[in-house]
Amino acid sequence: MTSQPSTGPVLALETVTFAYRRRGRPDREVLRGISLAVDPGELVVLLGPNGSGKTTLLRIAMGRLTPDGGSVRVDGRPVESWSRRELAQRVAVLPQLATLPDGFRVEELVEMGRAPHARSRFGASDGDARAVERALADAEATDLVGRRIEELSGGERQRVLVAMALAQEPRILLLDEPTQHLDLAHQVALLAALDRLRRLRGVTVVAVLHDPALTVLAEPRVVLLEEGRIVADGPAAQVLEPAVVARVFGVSLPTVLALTGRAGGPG
Amino acid sequence: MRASVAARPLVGGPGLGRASLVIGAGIILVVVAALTAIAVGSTEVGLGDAIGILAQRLGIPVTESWAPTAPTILFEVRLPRVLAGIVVGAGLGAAGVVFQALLRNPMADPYVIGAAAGASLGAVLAITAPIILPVLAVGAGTAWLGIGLVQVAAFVGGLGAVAIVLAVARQGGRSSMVTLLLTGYAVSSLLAAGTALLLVNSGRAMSAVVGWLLGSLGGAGYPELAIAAPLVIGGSALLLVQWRTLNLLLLGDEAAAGLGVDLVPARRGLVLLATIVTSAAVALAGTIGFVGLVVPHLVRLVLGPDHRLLLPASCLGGAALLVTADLVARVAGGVPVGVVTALIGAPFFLWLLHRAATASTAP
Repeated sequence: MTSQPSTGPVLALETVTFAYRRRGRPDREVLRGISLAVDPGELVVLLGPNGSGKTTLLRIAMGRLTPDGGSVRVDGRPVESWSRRELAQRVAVLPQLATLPDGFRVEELVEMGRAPHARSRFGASDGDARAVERALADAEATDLVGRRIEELSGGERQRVLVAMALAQEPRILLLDEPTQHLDLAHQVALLAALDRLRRLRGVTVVAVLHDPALTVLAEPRVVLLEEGRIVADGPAAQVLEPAVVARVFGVSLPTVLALTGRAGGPG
Repeated sequence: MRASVAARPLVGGPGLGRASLVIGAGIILVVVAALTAIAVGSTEVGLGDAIGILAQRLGIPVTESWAPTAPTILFEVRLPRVLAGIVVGAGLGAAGVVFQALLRNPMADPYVIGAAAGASLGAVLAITAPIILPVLAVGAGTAWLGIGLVQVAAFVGGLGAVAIVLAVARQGGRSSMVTLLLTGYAVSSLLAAGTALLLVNSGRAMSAVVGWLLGSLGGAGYPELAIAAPLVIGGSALLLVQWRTLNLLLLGDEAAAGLGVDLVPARRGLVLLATIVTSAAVALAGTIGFVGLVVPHLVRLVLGPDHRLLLPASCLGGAALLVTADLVARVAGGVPVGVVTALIGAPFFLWLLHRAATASTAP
């Protein structure tokens, strides 16, 4: 924790291959030689059709799955050399099917984000309290404090989940379809918040999105996946070429292109 | 509500004031229930005399105002029973909380993955063996009960059944919690069939078998308590310090792992501890139902789901409920204590559920 942040990429995948097991045997390969280096403070959006390997890639990056081939380095060290807790001090994850148990208050849940840093078996420290307040503010969830989780709307729950992940004070934030249950206004707000996080706190953000149109908002680096391979990697406007989008997604998306053509957005 | 949020710091869990209030109230509840249960019975000792007798035994000089038989009744009959109620109730309360969190299933109770079915088979085997195989009845069949073999067999049976369930559930790779639940159900059914078979062939031991299966706090003496109490209390204490992991498990596997929980060893440890606690409790008192399922829910409805408070409060709530239920069972003339826990607990639980439902649907 006290060590200087390394200068190299904060997350580096090197020719990673992976296949899920079926009856003990490897099934179809989901990742076929992925190499990806993410620098500190980058905002990376993983795009691709269903089944292209986006979620698997995130689960490999967080050390939940072990690649069949290749290597994964987090914060300068092989991901498998970190303990779960050490890894959780560096990488925060917002899973696709995140559930929030009823009965807890917003601040109690956000405090759970401090778990990997907890020193005492019994309570939270002042440092924890500060981190929770900052996370609530960064996720624009401070106004939700005191409310029970079952009283919240989908968008409010998502803000709480983001605040929980931020309370972890991670170097890397991995998000799997964070905009899934949000209406357009909240999708825009969330991406703006992630972009701000990157700029103000230097957090590296890697988010899986399914809607290319959203990338226009923050001008991220876009990594386009197709059948387990990276087919394009670069600034959004450059990657989302009409021909590429049409081929990878199997449809032409004039709206997307019109938006990306106008690049800039609120940022 | 709003003011209290602003006044107290954002984090720090339930707050020291609220926590000590809840735990303090719980302890008082258990002590009151225990003293009442010691004083009341077919031979009335009286609350004051009961306290006096206890004080005298602890070396505090007290003028004797009670019948000469009173200390014997108190120490030989009632105290072990009350202590068993505290130990069993606390253990079932804690184990119930843990299994509900582990399996993320509100219908889970301490018996759900086989501990009760295994303990029952073990105990019934030990009770009926001398009858089914007369060669084992060396001398008197009752000697089997006297040396606590039934309790030992129940404890071993409980642990063994869960070990089988875990081993079977793990076949074919990672065992999901649903697989564990279903395997527990299947193995429990199988073991229950064995128990039923022994029951119909138990002859003159049938009432002993039925009595054990219904659950009773009367069977335990000090020797059994001396073995079971440290297991239950030690196990529950080790579960208590894992409140944070239990909270994180409620978020689901991916989120818990992302927050630093090493799922496989964490779960294994929790299952092992909760099984030891459950098996020891069942060995002491048979399969008393309801406490392990409903006490955690009761406490959760009142205090919320944070395990920091939920676990200790469920221990105390389970102890108080079981001691009270056993007192009522004795006064009512030997009604099985499990019947009383259901009779007291179910209406109260339904009332709380109704109250929670109306509160959450109110505009």
